[in-house]
Amino acid sequence: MKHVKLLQLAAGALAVLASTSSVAHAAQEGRKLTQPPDVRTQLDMQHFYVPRELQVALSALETAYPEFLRLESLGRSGTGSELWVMTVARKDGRDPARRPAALVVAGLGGEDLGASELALFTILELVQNHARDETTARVLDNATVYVVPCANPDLRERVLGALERGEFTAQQLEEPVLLDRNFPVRWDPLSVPACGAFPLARPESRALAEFLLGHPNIALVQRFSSLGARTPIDLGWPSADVRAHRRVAAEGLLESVESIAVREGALLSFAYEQTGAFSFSAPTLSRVSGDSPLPAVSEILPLARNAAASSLRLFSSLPELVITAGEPQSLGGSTWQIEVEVRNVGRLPTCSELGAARFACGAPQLEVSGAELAGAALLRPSDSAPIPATIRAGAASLPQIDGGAAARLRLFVAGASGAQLSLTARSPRAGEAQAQVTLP
Amino acid sequence: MTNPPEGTYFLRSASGFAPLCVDRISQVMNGGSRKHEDEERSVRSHGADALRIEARNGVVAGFWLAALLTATSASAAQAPESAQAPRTPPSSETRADDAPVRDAVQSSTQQPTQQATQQAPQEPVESPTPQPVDPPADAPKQDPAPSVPPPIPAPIPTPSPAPSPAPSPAPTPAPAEDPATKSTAGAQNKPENALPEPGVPSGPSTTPAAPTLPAYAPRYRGASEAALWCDTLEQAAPELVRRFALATTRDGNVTPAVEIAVPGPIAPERRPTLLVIGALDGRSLAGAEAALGVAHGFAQHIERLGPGVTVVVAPYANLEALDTAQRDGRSNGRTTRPVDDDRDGALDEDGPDDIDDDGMILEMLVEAPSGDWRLSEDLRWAVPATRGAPGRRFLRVREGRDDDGDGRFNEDGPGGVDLDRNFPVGREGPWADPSVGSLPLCEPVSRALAEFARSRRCFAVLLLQGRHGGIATPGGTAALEAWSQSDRHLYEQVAANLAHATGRGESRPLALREARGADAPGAALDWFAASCGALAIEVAPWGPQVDARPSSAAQPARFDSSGDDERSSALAASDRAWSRWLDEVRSGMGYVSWRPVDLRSGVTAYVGGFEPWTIDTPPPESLERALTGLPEFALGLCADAPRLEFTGVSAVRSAGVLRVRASVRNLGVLPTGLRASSAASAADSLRLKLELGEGAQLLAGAPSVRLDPLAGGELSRAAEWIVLAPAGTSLKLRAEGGWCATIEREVRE
Repeated sequence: MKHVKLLQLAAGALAVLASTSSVAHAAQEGRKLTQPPDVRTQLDMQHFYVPRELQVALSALETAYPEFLRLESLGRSGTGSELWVMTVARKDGRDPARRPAALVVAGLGGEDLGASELALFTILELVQNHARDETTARVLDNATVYVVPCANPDLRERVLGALERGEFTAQQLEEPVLLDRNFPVRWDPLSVPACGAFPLARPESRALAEFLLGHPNIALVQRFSSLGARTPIDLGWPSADVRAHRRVAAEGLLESVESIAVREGALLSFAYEQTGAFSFSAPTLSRVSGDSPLPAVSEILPLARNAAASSLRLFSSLPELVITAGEPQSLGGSTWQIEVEVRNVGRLPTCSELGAARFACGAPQLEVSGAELAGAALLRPSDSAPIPATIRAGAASLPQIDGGAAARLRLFVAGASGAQLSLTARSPRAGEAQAQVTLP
Repeated sequence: MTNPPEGTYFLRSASGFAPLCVDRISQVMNGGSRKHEDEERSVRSHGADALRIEARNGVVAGFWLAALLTATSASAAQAPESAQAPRTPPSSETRADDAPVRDAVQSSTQQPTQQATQQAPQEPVESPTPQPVDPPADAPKQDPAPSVPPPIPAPIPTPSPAPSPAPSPAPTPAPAEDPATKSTAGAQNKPENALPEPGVPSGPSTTPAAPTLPAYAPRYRGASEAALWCDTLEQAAPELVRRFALATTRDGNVTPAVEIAVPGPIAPERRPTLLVIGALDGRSLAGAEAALGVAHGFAQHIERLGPGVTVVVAPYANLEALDTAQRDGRSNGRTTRPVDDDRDGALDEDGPDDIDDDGMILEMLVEAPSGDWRLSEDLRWAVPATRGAPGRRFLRVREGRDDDGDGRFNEDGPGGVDLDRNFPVGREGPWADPSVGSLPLCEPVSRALAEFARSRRCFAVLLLQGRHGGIATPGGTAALEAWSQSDRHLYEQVAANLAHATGRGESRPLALREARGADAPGAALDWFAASCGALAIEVAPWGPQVDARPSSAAQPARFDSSGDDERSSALAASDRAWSRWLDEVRSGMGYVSWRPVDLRSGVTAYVGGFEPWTIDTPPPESLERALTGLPEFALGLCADAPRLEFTGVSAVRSAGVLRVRASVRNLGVLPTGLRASSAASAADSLRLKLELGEGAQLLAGAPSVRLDPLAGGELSRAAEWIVLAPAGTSLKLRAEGGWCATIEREVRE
């Protein structure tokens, strides 16, 4: 028991350190240290929310921050409870589904039963800090965050009820079909118990999988895990993806997919291996007692702060396009040449290498309006001459762009002098960027 | 299919076909002139003698197969259905008197006890038949000797393809003892107050009289007519047949299914179920028709089913693809959901075309240095090219132009998701091939089949599809093939039963990947076995050996490369088998030799290959042969289903505690489950449970004892419990799981 308490203390200290560290880092990134948060509603972080309370809290948040939040149902659980997803994005007329997005899933099973409060607090942190933290504001303006605070409400209801009555036993965490073993990739009925009769046999896993496939803008998926790191296994994944995972995970103090997504039938395996979304698990939760699947109530707030800070850093790594165009140069007559740079200012690439290889996300494209796009060529330092780019449906195809890197392109357009050109770079997982050019 | 005039036959034999003669052509055209000799051969091969099959594992697991085959000739032309199918050759009605022969098979010297009964076409289709009646639960029984295996019921003959137009009501069959039960039943310790066992009626049999059914004759009906036929079947026997909608496709079409069950004390959905699926592959139209025949066979011989088993038949499981097959004689097996096969952002933009306007879409060889194919010495066949070998190389594609100008031919045709690759076991993701579907079971039909199978206790799943002519077993991938090896003996037994029922030459069961000639990840068969733990088998109604003539040496369509000489070794075994069938049975008809076509792009290409209604779907005149014996085979599966009986039950009080012992015996022929176990199916394994009454306390022994699968006739190990219970306490034993109906027994000291 002493050992457990020591662990608790250590975890708390780590949380404080992480929190201090993130605050200091945030200040350097432009956080306004004296600006108060935009508090419009209060959430109690001193207790665990049963699904019914969670619904009330989510509704209250949506009502309080209507310019940022939209609450929807993904479907229903096995016993008919709603599966809620909160869409977090500034409502400025742009479709949230066309912005780069992150999906946060909490409360899948016994291992992250206490993560629902962390997900709830992450939503709260995003909307309360929109005016005082530049990173938060940028995420809200340019990205979309989907949060599923409780993916397994039936389990949560049962376990919290048993804990409240003092009747909890470890057996109550057991389920005939484990949700995080019921996703299609690496699903293995021959050797994995409780993986279900077939993938997506549970309505919860089916709803989540369909949501993921129905939102091709989701570039990363995050869970809050209580699992420790495992020995990395060489899965033969593309080295560029492994590097990207490691880099971003290290920055966000996260456990990368390399160590956890190898689990058979897991959500994160499905997210990465089928949809090509980068997948992370924040080891925010750790079992503090053998008697309970939940941390101590007093630990919820520090854990939630730590989780929200980690998540924010992760969201800020989402790919994001910025386009800059040079001066048009006349090639004679009405033909012009324009050099364009499309930069990915995020830390994750516009698509994972595996996702591209598996056709899960398309390449960035550049469209021109106001003039006719006659041709395009890629300008790469490694090539001695520009390489003609593919033009399909009036748009030039670009290669996938790594985090922090840029693609340079030479456009050949036909247009009259004085014409206003609009150049739009678009990527399914990196959003859109526009630049205006006037032909001399 | 339109047969060309006779004069063209000789043109088709130009490249080394078997010599043609008018005699053979006319045989091929009407199919009937050779039918009688074939049927005689079939009768001989069925044999009326008992057949002993020895188990290979050294344990005496042989059993006696008794076959009673009687043939009654009837003119198919007199039957209304046959009249609608002019291409179906005049069929003879083969019937058996269904009198019990099970008693007779107790001895190795047993001979069939019944003779063929000539039946006039005007007489009812059904005849008085005995039905098995399980003895009352409290009747004294004789514990069978372990060394005496239970008998296998005699296969019944072909369901009558030419029934009478107006059959009169069948007489009510007289009850009779179930010999299987009689031979093995009788736990000596059965208490007098034992409860009736679920699934085994304790009173008189509720098996109804055989109904007056609509006539059935094999022919290609198509999906809508098949649905109507299911309705008719239900209307003819509403107490036995229930028609229901298995699924609704994305196009809004209803996939029909029928449930056939004898009224009994246990609801049909709680009984062990045989699930029969016709042509999930969307190609094997004969499989769909075979499933209809199986449904009819069960309804017709309902007394063979008994009240312990339910049969569910989904005859046209892949409606959309089968519609195409019905229209064109060939289909790619996919649903109508558009899929971007070549990932170019356009859907179904480059499909096959009839370039040479011959009314058929065949195959095309496009000359290309990077091609993987070359022509064999028999110029009809393309064979894989050896790397680096000289000679012309070809790409092998469907006949068609490069409609979208991307330099590839027919790379994104119409449709769709391949339902038989949409199941989760061993499945590759859509990144490897979009036709597997974006998610496992993402199609309504595949999902419905999976959910239905999981909602029932499916002891066997019979997929009727394929063109290998035999039995394929789970093993779409190497890992699953290895997994299913422990049930090899069971599959061999089933393959022998199929050979016996159909009169086909006995062939070894093939792993699915072997039967298909390539890996088949995501196949339904593998999921039914690995996840449901069912006896899952694919029976191909069609194959080169199915329609083989005595002079033909057509082999099963195994895709091995063992050859006799250099020339033939380049040709796949299946191609050799089909080649023989073409030459010796079809006189060369059904295959178009490669001929050049103009692609208008400077590319040299040749069009040729199998015509529709040849290898994927049998020619109409061969359909009846392809379906022969399949209903009997399916009936045999149900008759062989495992059934449990408590034995060695005792409750002895000693020093204030009750010591309870019990074991169960499998009275069926099939085992109670697969030997190959999986994590998913482990929860459904056979268990023996002791339920305590009021005031009783379990002192020792597990409340639920898991048992290994029991072979046919096998006795389980004894389970033992020590219970602290006041005198007179009632305990209940329950055996459940596996492929068996649940049985219960009350135990008192």
